[in-house]
Amino acid sequence: MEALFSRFDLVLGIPEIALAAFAVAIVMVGVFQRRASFGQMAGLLAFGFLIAGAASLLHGFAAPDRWTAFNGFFAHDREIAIVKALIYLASAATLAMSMRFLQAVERAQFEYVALIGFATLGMSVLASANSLLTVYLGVELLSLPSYVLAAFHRDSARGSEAGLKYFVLGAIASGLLLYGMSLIYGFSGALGFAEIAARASSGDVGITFGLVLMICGLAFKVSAAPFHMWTPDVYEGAPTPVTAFFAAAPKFAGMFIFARLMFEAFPSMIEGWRPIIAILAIASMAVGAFGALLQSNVKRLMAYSSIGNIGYGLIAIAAGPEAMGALIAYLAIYVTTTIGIFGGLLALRHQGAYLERIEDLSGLIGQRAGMAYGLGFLLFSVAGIPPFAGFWGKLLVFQAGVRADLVWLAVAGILLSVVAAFYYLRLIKVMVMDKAQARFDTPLGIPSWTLAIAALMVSVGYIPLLAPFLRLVGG
Amino acid sequence: MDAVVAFAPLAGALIAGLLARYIGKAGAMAAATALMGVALAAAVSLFLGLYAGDAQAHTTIIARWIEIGGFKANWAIRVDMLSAIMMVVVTSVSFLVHVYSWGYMAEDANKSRFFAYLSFFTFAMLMLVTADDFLQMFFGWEGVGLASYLLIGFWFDRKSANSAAIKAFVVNRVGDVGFALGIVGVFALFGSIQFDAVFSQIEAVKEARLVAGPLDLPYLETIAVLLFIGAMGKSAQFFLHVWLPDAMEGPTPVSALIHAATMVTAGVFLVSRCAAIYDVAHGAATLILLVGAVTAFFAASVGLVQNDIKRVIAYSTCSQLGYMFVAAGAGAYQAAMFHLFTHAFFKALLFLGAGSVIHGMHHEQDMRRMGGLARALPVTYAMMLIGTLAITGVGIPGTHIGFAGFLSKDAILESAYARGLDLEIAQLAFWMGLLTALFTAFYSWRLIFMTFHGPKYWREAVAHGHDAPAHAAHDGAHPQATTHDDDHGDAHVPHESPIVMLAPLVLLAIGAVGAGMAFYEPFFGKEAESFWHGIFAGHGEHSVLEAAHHAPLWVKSAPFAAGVIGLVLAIVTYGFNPRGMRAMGEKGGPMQAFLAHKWYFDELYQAVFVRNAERLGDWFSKRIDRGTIDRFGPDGWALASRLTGGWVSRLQSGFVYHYAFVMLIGVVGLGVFALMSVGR
Repeated sequence: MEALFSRFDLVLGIPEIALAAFAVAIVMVGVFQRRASFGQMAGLLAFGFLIAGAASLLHGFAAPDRWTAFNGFFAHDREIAIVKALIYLASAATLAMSMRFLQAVERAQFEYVALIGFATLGMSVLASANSLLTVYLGVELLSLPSYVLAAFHRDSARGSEAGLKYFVLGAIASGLLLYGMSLIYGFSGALGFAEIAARASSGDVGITFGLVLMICGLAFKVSAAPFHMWTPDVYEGAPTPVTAFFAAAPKFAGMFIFARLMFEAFPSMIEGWRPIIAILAIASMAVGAFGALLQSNVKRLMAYSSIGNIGYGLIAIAAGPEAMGALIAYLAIYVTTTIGIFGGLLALRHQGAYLERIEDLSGLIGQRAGMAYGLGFLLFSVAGIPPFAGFWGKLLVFQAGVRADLVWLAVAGILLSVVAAFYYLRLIKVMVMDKAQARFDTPLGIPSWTLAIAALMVSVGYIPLLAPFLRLVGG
Repeated sequence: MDAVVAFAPLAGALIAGLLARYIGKAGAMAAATALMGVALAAAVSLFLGLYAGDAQAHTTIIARWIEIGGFKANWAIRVDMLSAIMMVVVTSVSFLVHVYSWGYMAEDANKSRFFAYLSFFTFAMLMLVTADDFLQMFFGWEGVGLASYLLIGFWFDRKSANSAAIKAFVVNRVGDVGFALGIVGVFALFGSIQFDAVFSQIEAVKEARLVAGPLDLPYLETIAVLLFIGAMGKSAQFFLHVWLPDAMEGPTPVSALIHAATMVTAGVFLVSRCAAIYDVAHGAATLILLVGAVTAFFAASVGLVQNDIKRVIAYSTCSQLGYMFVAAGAGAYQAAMFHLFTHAFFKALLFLGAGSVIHGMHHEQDMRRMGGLARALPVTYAMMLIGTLAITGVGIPGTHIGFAGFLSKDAILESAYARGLDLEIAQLAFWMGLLTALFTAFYSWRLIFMTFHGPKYWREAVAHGHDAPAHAAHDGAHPQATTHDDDHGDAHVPHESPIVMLAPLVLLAIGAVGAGMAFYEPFFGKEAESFWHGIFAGHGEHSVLEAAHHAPLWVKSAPFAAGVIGLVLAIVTYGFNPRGMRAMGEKGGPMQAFLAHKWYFDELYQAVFVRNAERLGDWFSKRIDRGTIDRFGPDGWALASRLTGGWVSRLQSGFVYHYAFVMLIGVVGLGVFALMSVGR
């Protein structure tokens, strides 16, 4: 009898196995060891991230090419290793930022840490997925903890509403995804990416329809328009650290697997899916740009910002396999910048209350100059103003689009980024020019200067780091 | 050493402009003045080094500026006799004006800014004169234009000062277009803009033609005319002169430094620097001669009837610049530079003297409200007298003994006469020059008589109180002065200026007396060849200089005679019968009106250019900019974005079934789209 998996499979799966083990361990410790503090739990998970990340990078850089495991359902290579490491980092960062907040609202429970752990496990599986089943497994493993996290503040009506909405709509999206997968399996007889690529052809109506359904399901998960409707409500209703978490790592994992699925399973159908992705891209950029113009809630605004940025990322997917490096670089910059902005929002309070409205930021520069500069740099970066990192990210994506003859898409992206720049600049204007309405509390934990320096590092220091990504693009 | 000359004033400007808040106004002014003194010392030592033959002409390259293909431009300090003379003139007058301004601007609230501008101007002017290529010269050219704009409009709360500043700037732009096109032409023709590289190739391109569409022009002549148009703007020559009289709205030290001694002579310097070109471009040289002569005559005629003390001197400057161009056009660049050199002293003296009068009269500039001031301002009177003797060219005909203007002006007229031997237009220029000399004597002595002699009209002005418009404007700028005047009605009694203002007058007066005699031989006389060291080598043996020296005695005595006639006329009219002349001036007549309205130039330009430009600008602003670009551009897009934003936000109803519906529409839409593309 053939073994279900070999020892090699287990070794290659160390990151995921470690993450699962640590997440389960946290649940166990939480249940049986009531005295363990939230900080200790978070530390435990961080340790798990560390092991998983190290293992992933080791595998990635030990392998000359791609390694597959579990009968070809699971893949690993350098690209995947880098993405996984970034996912762990993003999760760890958002987890660290949540602690103060959760303690302040008396929600510092070990379940939070465990849920983050499981969600990250889902992302990790997603990044390595090499068959439709693994994709689905990863998506669900990410989604279910996310629904709970969105409603983590269970006494708050808005939080519960957000969780419920997310869950209902997410279920529809999962259904679409699964239906698309079954169509593709039915018409091609294959589940693995490579096998599908070998058998799928563009003339096949069944496969085409299945592909569209899968794209719709994935578009929901990364919140691309017109499947974005849940995003503003969920971002606003969820606790701020959860919003930060949603805006960071899952976007990375979702966009990465979106791109891999298109590039690896349907390379011959590129002329079929390219226009669809392009429509999603332009719709997302437009919704992200126009939707945020009249928002007064910072978290809603960040939701539209993430929709818009997903649109820019989709340009890279539409550009085709050569743009993978540009996509990774773009997402890395966007995710890091977003984490920095949320870090700022989580460090500022008025008499114990966290910021929600844009006006709450007014007069920041007078009281917390370092924080204002830090946020200002990050906002300039995400608006795509040189020389900040966000500009280079956008440039890479647009270049990739132009190389793939999608000039009109790149032009549309540039024009819409001008519209989007308005609301980022408005935040800066509020911080710098408007009169303060209330005093900000004294800093908690992380001093604001740290953020300012971090912002500079993030924004300007990224430029030299782009070189390896560019080389990755060039092959 | 070379760099110190140019960059000490820049340092002074930066210190006075940026650090005044930390080191105090007096500190800023002292720093600017001291650094100006450093620059003066450096310039004098450079000049003496060249003069004594200890040093050779050389060029110090400071930095590379532009290098694009074959186009190269450097930041450089070119030291030769021509630039050394300019350095000495610029730094010495500038230093004296800095000192003088301690007194003149004592009450001004923004005096450190004033000093910063003065020093910046000096820096730009030095960059202009020490340039080694056309581009750096253009940089300095624009720099002095900017400084001039800032200083004319220094009292920015006066509407007239603002308009004058804008007028100066705009009129100069007209000339600058010519200059810039000239530089483009130089590069196109020679493949370089570096002076030596250009001048050494002139023989090779003498016959080149510029063919553009229907045009077929001699290339070199075209370039020469374009460059001269630049010179006309900066040096306020006929047609582009209108800004200079209005520029008198600036503080008087500015008028002395920029609008008399230095900046306005940049055009003469440009033509002299390009002597090699104008030696070959005879058509352009003749144009210069003609424009110079017309300007000299025109400005002198207008000066006859002006009543504002500064305007008289301003027209006088314009007229003297015309003289310099006559000399340059005649090929006697030495005479042009000589007059530039002496003129700097006596004109700065006259301006600063006028400033002293204005200061003593509590910022009254109308000569009709002066009179009999000789007793109240004895030192100023003596110095103004020296300046007048210098400008009217008093000396002993047939010898080289006389005031500065006597020697340099006569050199010009002799050159014009000599050139006239084979060029008829030069004869016309000579006769116009003689007539101008007569006019010059008349208006200069008229100024002296109206200001320092005759009835004391300022007593009436005191009785009238504060209705003098010039004074009212001044009060707006100087609140302290107003309260002072209101407390003491008799504060209007003229008073002599402080020593910081008189000392520069005395030093300039020494130059006005002696500069001509001291430097006649090197500039224009027997030592000229070794002095200029081949800068103006074009003419060879049949030099205008040589011919000028052999002009007949009547030519050499004629300017002096013209000056005496002018003096006599002035004595007869304004000296003996001031009240009669005053009545005549008020009554007027067609000739008087023609001159008083400056030949109706302002009215003409107003009707032809300003009105139409305003109408065009208005149309562009209303129809094109606001009506089209803004409406469909920024404003339209902003409105559309807002409306779209509102619409997107309204779609976000909050109901789950709406959201699910939108998702399903998306699925169906994309599915139909994809299946349709498959079907095709």
